[in-house]
Amino acid sequence: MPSTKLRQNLQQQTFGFTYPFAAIVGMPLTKRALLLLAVDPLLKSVVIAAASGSAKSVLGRSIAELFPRTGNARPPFVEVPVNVTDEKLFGGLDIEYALSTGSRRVERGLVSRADSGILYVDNISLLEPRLTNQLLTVIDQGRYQIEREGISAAVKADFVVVGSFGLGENELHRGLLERIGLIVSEPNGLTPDERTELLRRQDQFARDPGSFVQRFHEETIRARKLVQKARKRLSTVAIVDEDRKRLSEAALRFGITGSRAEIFAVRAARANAALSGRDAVTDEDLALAVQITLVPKALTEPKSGAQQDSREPEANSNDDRPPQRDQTNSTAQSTEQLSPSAIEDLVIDARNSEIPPDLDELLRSKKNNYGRPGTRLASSARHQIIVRTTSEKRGKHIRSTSSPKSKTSIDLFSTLVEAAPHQRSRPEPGNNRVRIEKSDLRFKQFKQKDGSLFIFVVDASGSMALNRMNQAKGALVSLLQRSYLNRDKVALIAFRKNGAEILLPPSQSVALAKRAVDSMPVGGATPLAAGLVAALEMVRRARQSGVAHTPVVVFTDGRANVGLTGSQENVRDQIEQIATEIRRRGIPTVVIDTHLKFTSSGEGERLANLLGGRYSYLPRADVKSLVNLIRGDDRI
Amino acid sequence: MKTNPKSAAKEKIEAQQPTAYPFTAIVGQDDMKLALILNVIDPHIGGVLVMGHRGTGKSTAVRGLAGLLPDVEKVKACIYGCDPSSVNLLCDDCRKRMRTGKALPRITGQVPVVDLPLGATEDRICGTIDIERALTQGVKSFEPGLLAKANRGFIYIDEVNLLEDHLVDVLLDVAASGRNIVEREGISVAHPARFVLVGSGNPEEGELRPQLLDRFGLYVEIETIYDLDDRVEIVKRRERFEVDPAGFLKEQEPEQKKLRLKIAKARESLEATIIDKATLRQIAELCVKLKIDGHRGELTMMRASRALAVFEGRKKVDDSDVERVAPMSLHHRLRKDPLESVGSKAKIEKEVESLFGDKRQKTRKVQSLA
Repeated sequence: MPSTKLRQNLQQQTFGFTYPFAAIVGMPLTKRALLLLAVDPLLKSVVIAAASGSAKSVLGRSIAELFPRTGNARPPFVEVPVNVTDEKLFGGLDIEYALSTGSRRVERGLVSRADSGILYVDNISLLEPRLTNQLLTVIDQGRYQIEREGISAAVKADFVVVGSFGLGENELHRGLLERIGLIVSEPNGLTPDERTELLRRQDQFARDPGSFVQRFHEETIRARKLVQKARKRLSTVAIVDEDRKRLSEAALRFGITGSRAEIFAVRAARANAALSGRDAVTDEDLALAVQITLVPKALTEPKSGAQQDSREPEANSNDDRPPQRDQTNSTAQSTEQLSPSAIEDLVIDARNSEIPPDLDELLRSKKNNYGRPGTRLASSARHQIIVRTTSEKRGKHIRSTSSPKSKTSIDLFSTLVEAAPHQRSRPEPGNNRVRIEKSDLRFKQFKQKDGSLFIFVVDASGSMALNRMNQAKGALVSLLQRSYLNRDKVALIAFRKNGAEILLPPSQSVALAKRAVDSMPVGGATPLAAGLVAALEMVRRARQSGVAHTPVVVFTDGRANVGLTGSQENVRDQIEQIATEIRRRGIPTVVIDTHLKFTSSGEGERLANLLGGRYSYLPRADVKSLVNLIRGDDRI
Repeated sequence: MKTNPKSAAKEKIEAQQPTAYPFTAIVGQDDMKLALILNVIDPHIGGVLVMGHRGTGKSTAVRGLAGLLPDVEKVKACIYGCDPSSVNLLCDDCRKRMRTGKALPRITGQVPVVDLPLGATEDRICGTIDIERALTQGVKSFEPGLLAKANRGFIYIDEVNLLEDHLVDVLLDVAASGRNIVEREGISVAHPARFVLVGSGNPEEGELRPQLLDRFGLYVEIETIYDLDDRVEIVKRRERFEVDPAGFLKEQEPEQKKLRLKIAKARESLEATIIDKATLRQIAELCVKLKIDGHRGELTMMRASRALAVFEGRKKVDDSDVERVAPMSLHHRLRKDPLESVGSKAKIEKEVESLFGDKRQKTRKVQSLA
């Protein structure tokens, strides 16, 4: 039956022991966060960001011991594999039961099994966004409404989530960040001494888990008692309005939208006070709360989330560090007042720039020719017929067919539905078993993760950046306007000064794209190589997550003058090397040469040749031809 | 042997309906609350789409709506909850029963609010063959889905911009016709499915298909609240609710009751509320000026302004009503210009201003909702 159950059983038998929480070396912040979650399960979730191989899952598993026990039973600990399907995660029809009895019953999903326990998701950033979103709704509601395959049931699913993801791996989905209670990353690695100790303990645990666990037994009990005491104290821990305000103010300054983060912040502060045996929240509690509930949500990149920022909220308000760009409208506005205006940093106000006349026409034109095979765009915007590619194996299961083009998985539910009306007419073998014939079989058709990821790599150096940004913006937004048809995404990488920066991670949002371009700093040198490296990395991740079509569009005048290390040596060689790599991987590229007049020395063209991509000399913004170039002709 | 699906689900795994956070306890977000209330007063407005930041109370408000809905008359034992007084909209069963000559038995019941989870499958939305009866008794019978359950009520889709396209198609189809036609697995059924569509989402997750966008009567953009005291109040109320839901509900009940009564009264007087020709003309002019395609914008504005007038206890729609509902009625129907710097709302407000000019009572404050 359910493979997870089987696996858990196996684990019980073969290992039988969980590495004790108390035996974990280092990682003080992570341990603290897990304790807080145990003290106040309404914090809902802890996500641990750490490099791979840093015992994230060991930590995640060990937390079950900290939770109060009912009787002598541990709370359920359920692990979610990254490739989990809808019905396994949330539950559905118990096919086995239906086949053998002809009756329906709910097969519990992982969320139901985790009820009043812990759901553990390793590599949570790799889970399909669709599933993550639903999972988050379950966390909020403590229940899940199954509406699938003939089953309609509300199941209890009240659990805490412990998740992890590797630093430098796929970034955490922004929406996910907002709903997560605590996000921790260890700022410091282990000291050599600690590493030695870790090795020693791992070895001991592997050789003789029984006595190892026994050795830490008392500490484990003590930790559990600590949690129990803190739980009792929690409801009486006071927090004054002044402190609530400080937390809210900190959230505002970090550009955090909505109120969830603050709710978590207050909870974390109180839980920490309770854990420390205090009856009122102190500045120490507030500082920790800010560090693990607010700071990580203020930044898009989990990497930067690793920066230590244990300053107190009030310290933050005196702090002039430039806030991050990718925040909400209003903070973006206040950002402009706050950020130090370095002379070469010029924030373009692209909002007031001219709209290329073609764009307007383009968007309303009745005809278009950017269709890709399998996706037909019909004429008027009001009556579009969308023909989607259905693939045989991958993606989300959308419907079923009796005649698959090739071998694919059987859709048991549809098969059952097909077989149902014929049951009477089929010979009785003397039991209740459902009789299925070959003609009943239905096969799953999947919707591929369709859509492309257009990666814009824009040269934001020098004075001409303004022009390029506008071109890029027009093309970005135009592409996105149609994204609801193709599920396309765009990303924006800018390079200037000493490196490249991801201004817009892959996104379908027009609002985000506009904001990213509008608040983009320009000026400085031209580190083209860094821009290309960033694009290459983004392609790698996109391909990992199943997006096959990832055209890279480079807006530049081709005159790179800074290399990867920030020095001006070997610039050409580096570009050649990276460009060759991009070409080797078959990544479609377009180079838009923005060099003005005839002073071009052919560098843009040379780059296009190296990349094996298309070249276009387009010094002036003309969104229509740009989009055509990128969209229509991107099949190189 | 044969297990009823409901009793099967009633093992220990079944969840209770969670207590909804009371609508009136939501701090701020007046536009969203008003748009929802107007739809309760006049379901013909066509629903609301609430777009905005996460954690700003979108789904809390929609889920709280159920606590404000008045009871309605239904035909007893009709799975679609048919309205006994509108003969045209009866389902086939009720029609048959009527033909026997007897009056349809009546019962008072709740207006349904149906959650459509993103993971729902098409068969559960539209309804399909009752597989258990088919397997065990060899009978082909229709098992109604969510659309049947939602008849005369609300369908709520959270993260509506993430809804699978093939499900969007189904919804659009049924929303347009008010009937759900099922032709699958040997079943052939058509039943009434008239519902108010309420959606919410975060624009950062992606765009909505234009056809679906247009289907929503009203559109509200919701923003994070920046007032510190309000924010603190939000957190505090939420904590109180989480610690003691029943107590919190009791505390809010007077407010809830007041609003419930006000809505019920408005529903009764809706028919009698006047909207004169001059006002209708203003609405039409506004739509022409803003180059709104189609007529859904005008219709929505007409209905929404009427609902607002009656909600505020007036018998006649005045300029202030039109002005208040214009942005939420037209926002999502403006043509999109990707490089537009002025927000749609500002554009509409500008046109409204030029249309009404000075005769507008500038500072008339919209009455507080409760």
